[in-house]
Amino acid sequence: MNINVFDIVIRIVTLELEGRLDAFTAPQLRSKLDELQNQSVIRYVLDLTNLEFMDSAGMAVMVTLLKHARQQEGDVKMVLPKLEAARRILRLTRFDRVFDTFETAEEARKSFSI
Amino acid sequence: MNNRAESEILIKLELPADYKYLNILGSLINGILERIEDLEEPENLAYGLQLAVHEICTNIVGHAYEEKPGYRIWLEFRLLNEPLRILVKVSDTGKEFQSDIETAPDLENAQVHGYGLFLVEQLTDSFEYRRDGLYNRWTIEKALTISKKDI
Repeated sequence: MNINVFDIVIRIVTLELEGRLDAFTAPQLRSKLDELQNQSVIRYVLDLTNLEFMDSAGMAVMVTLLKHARQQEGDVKMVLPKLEAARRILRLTRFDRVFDTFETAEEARKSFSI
Repeated sequence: MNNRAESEILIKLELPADYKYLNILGSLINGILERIEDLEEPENLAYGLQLAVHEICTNIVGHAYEEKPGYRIWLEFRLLNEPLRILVKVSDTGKEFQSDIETAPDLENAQVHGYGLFLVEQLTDSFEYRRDGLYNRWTIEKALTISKKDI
């Protein structure tokens, strides 16, 4: 008898961002993402639940990641911030349409249909 | 505290032109707005105003001063009456802003750049830039609405 076992492990990386994502802290995130991209990660969950503030430099890092992930047939799912004022900015820039958005990281991870 | 500014209130701040210190703006703006009683949507207002001023300062650090050390940003926050509003003036001595280069973002297709001044426009009631000798002068204004209480 032959038993052929195929074990496919799909890697989904969740990044919980807390505090401020702005021009000062964005390079920190960029550097962490470069590290993950070098490991060929293409599926990400950006968990913004506890994000207190985000500026256009933070948005630029997120869009760069999204474009890169989709080019590699991966994706970036976003968990919306708790703070309504921060959600409002995501609506204003239509990031809530560009990214698939979720209320929890678990829902976001489950949404990756392989 | 009063729900209107007793007289015109002026607060001045001088910052090193460094991304590192722009977090101070949030505390200052929250501090000013929390002294106004019964402000409508105070969290949205404080967040939006902080983001607008922050984006102007980020533009100054990155473009006007090209991230070079040793430069300064001057800010004035004025609470004005009739109607109640906040006026913020931001000045720097960096390179002149080239408004013709700045383009509005295409919101249907996410872009890496172009959201900064778009956000400033969206989050304020008026937004002006002018070159004044060696200075860049940015002015934004935002109305402050007091919620109506049931009598």
